[in-house]
Amino acid sequence: MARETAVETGSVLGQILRLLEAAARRPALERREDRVSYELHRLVAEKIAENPAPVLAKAAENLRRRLLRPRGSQAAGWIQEWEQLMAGDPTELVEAMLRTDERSIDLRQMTPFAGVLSQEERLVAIRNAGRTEHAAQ
Amino acid sequence: MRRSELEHAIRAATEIVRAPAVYIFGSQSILGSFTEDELPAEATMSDEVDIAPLDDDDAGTLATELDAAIGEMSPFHETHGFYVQGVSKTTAVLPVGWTERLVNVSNANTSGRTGLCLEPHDLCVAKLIAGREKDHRFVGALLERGLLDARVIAERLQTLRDDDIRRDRAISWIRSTLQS
Repeated sequence: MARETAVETGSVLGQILRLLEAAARRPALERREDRVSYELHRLVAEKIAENPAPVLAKAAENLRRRLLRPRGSQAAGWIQEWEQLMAGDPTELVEAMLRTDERSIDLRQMTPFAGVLSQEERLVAIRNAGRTEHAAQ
Repeated sequence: MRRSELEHAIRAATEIVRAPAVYIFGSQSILGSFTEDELPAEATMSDEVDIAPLDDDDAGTLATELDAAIGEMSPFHETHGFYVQGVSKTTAVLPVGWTERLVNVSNANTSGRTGLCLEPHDLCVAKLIAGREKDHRFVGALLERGLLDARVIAERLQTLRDDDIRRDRAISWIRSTLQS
């Protein structure tokens, strides 16, 4: 389905594309490290919009490995939250990935998406995070 | 995160920024003073460690190099399950004298290079100034384990001058823990 048609018809893809359009306007995040994380997840969300299966498979593998590390209940809670988001509506997953509230910033810090982006894609995200229009006024 | 992972991060970060030492900020600096076995789970759950070069330009060039090489979603992160977040040394609000109380982590695992970790009470000052829910949980867990002295935290909060509102809010919080 063409991206324009997807946006018009209100399909899941269309909803995700609208979220990405909003994210492209770069919300104000005060700390550079929060901006880096946000930009990385924005690119991951674009990959989910294009072809979610390999992204979700890689994330699931990372979460499985993470469960093998000894952790307290709080970390297990974050892992469970990612699992629930990944098993549910992709739109809700992308929405959670791109929110700017405190909880979403914390959720991104426990990201399951290591290895999804190429190094080149990562560097683009890191560079975008340094752009001045991204910083909070 | 484990102590051995902190040491690994120090070794990698000092190599990337081409320096003998780096600052370790954020919650995982607690591993400079305690091993993961001594700490409550809430204190070591993070997968990331904040590292600041001792000398960086205003653009944060070296911090960016850390992000690029061993940061979030990097091959390093994918392989080891943790990552380094490049930060500025001005990123945390810290009490007077903090540089004199830094805890050195340096051994064979760090290839003899040094991670300068925040002293735990200074770390808690920074956490309480940030004042997020997770910061309160972090400090509360350490106090409950008996690893820190709330009165020392309160005394060090009093030395802050640049942010009265957040300082006073943090002091109220720590005083409430003393009373409970």
